[in-house]
Amino acid sequence: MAGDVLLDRGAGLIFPASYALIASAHMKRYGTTLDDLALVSLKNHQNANLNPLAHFYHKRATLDDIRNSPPICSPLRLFDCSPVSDGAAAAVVSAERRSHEDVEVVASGMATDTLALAERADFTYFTASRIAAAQAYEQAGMEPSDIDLAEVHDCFTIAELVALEDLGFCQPGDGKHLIREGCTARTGSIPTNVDGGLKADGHPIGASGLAQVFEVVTQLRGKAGERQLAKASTGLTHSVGGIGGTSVVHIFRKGD
Amino acid sequence: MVRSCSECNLTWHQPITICTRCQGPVATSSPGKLRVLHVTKVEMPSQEHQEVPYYCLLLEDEVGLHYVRKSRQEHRPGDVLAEGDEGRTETAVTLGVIGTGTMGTGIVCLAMEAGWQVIWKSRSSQSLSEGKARVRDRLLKAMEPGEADGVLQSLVLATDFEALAGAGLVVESVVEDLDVKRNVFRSLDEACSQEAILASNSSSLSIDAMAAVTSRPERIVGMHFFNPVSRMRLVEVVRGARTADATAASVSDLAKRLGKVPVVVRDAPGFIVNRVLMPYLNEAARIVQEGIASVDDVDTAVELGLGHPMGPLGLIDLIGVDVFVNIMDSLASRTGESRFGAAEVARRLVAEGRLGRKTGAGFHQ
Repeated sequence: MAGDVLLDRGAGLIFPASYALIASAHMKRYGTTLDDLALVSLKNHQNANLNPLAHFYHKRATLDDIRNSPPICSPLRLFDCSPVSDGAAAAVVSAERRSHEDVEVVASGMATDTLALAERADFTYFTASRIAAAQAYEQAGMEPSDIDLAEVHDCFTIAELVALEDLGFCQPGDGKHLIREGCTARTGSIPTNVDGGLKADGHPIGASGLAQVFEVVTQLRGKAGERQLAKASTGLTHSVGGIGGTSVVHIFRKGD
Repeated sequence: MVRSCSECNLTWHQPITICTRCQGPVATSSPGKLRVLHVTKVEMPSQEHQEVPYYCLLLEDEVGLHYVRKSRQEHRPGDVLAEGDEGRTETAVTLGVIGTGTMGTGIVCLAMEAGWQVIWKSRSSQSLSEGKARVRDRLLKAMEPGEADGVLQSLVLATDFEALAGAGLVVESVVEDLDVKRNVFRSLDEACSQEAILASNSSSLSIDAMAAVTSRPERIVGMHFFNPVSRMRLVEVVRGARTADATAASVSDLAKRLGKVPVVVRDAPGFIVNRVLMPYLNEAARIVQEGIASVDDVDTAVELGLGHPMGPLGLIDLIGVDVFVNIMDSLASRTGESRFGAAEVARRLVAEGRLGRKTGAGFHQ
């Protein structure tokens, strides 16, 4: 179930409307701006231009395109929303090590929350993501600073900032600094959504989570071609369902 | 009004009588003043919310509980909605539905999913309880059993017309027989409030002929849904000679709130869709009758040459050959035009009892 029928959907709370309310709450509390969201969109589109498998590989999006795109649910505009894409992804999982290219799954965290937005106390973070992240870091024996790249669930631009905060890459509300200062760019301290993310790699609903795993594995194997990161030994994926009703966090490590 | 579970504290704005989470007892209370925390202006239409823009308000009551509400009016964060300020959000609708056939059941499902109060009337209490079970099955495709049972709390079953006194709109979907429908309209006119709009889901009968037996012809209108109601997005809003502008406008608006697209048409035989469809089906039957092409080849030609999902003869079989002939006869007698005469081959099939899918054979075996 992607949304609460009685409490939310009946009140017209379609997906972008939910994230629009989250964006409003985040902007009001932390001073996040529309331009911060535009920068997230721009970065992910630029990343997709390096990824031949991305939905928007051939599309050049400028900051003006993003700022002037039509409103969907205020404050979110068209370019704050991920597209609905066609796509598929698969992973072979084994208990046995078969090759030097194998990537180790070192942690799997998962948590849930109420499906209805109205039943939550706070709208600026996802409790489920915070819990899933804590589980994953504990299992892996790692800290956020140990992660070389992150693939996060940016179904809307605001969701990327909220994810970075929930995953501990910065303090709550400081996601805006990460994007403004280029920390999440390919050359930054925590490259995020280097495949283009859901925003520009695409969002083939059921396959998006595994597409993130594909990107991390490809980067850890050093086979990402033009978009290969210089340092990629550990990677994290973060996938969300039902406006934070479910959140799953995985951590991967390069084979020795 | 707000309803909250006395045991787990889950809250609703919908008319719920048992908790959808824990089945606990539900108490009704006033939410007091509601403060607007955040607002989004939605400009993107969706299946269930076709009319944009609208506003989604995230509200907080005096004890810190949150609510999401839809509003047509713009609000700003910090606005306070006074107690009982329901007029600024969409008002609830109480819909009466007469008849437990395919269409009546489909309309009930649609209204339940939209969160409306529904009063469902039929002569037989058994067909009503069977109908309710079918509605529940439909709701279960979209929600958990507890939630579905909660939604079903706003469905009232009735075998007498008096139960419809509180309905704002009644849609009758009884058998396509003018005498039967006129009797229904007479009874509705007596039982329903003077403000209520009375609508017919008829696909072929005259709205004026039904309006004539009531004391409120200005509030009589056609509201023609299509089968299957859940998937077909069209509603033909049929204006009789005396139907008021406001009546047609209200019914169009209500159709939109049910996620449908209304078109307004004057009361004329076949309205739009059947006026276009029926002669086309009839022509396909004539091609077979004249030995020009086989049943399969006619259907194949239309499917591949016109891109229709189903050929005309397959469609007649689906509708029922007898129903098809009845509609053609009705078009012919109401217009007095021979071009609407049903193809003889269809009459022969009816005489042989080959009525289409429902009897296992029609044009196709």
